Amino acid sequence: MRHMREEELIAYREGVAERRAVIADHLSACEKCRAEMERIEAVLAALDTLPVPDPGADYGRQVWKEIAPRLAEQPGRWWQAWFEPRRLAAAGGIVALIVAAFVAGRITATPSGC
Amino acid sequence: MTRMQQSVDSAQAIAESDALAVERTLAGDRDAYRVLVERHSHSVFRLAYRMTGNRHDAEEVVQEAFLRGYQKLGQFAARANFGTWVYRIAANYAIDRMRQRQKENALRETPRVEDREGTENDPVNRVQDEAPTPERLTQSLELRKQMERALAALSEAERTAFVMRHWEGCGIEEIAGVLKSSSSAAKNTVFRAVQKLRHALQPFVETKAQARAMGTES
Repeated sequence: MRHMREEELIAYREGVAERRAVIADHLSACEKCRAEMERIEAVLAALDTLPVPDPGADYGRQVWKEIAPRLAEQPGRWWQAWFEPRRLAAAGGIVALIVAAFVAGRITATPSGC
Repeated sequence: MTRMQQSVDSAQAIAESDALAVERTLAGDRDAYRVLVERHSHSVFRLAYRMTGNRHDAEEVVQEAFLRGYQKLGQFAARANFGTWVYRIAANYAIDRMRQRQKENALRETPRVEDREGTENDPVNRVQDEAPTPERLTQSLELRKQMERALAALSEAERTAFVMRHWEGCGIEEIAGVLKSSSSAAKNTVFRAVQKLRHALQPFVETKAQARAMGTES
């Protein structure tokens, strides 16, 4: 019997395994893999005890108070993304390159004799 | 229906629906955005804290996520879920913040002492059935330090993938979106994170089988 790899057991435990049924069947039959799974679960269970501080019942209101003065009058519209500085700079760069290539082509072109 | 009644109904509808609150915000009603901020702040804080490992950075991430959310709200349009969307913005900003912190720490050349909450939040202190013995308390604090160290030793991508999958229950596609990777790469990152955590922490963690053998299982 082929035992499950660590990768398969972790994927199963985290709910991202592709062969869930196969792994489940194997686990019910194989003590060694069950023990391995138990060791993985023990570590994850310990991590689950790490506390997250409670920011307080009023936290949402505090966040709003902090950000409200910094909000623009109107939220951004989808087309405004095209006018973001980095996009404008990129577009400007491309236009400059095209113009430079065109000018260079005009300057270096040798007149063709007929 | 009176104008006042209409106004009350509208406020109630916004309070119930994220989609409507987004729509109202886009129409210029800033109060509708306040509803979204107040509704989702706690869950975004939880994600941010788990990713950054400290309260100060987490609070900054929350504020920045909602600010960016407001600026980009037009791009959100009528997409499925505002909560998921703002989560993604927060996760992306938290990754930037973690990178920045790493650079700052590298410059200082001393490991940053994370300003986690004091012992009042320690799991061992929340056990009500028995007072922790000094030995148990020491073990618990040591384990907690080891866990924090192990999490801090993960790469930003690994920590993000682990937090989003294990603690926040996000889908692999969503994680892949934040990491800007393929689904299989995101899955692999979750695996690597758990593997690293396991190898770092297993010597400190008692399994159920060990607990049964020792007769200490609760």
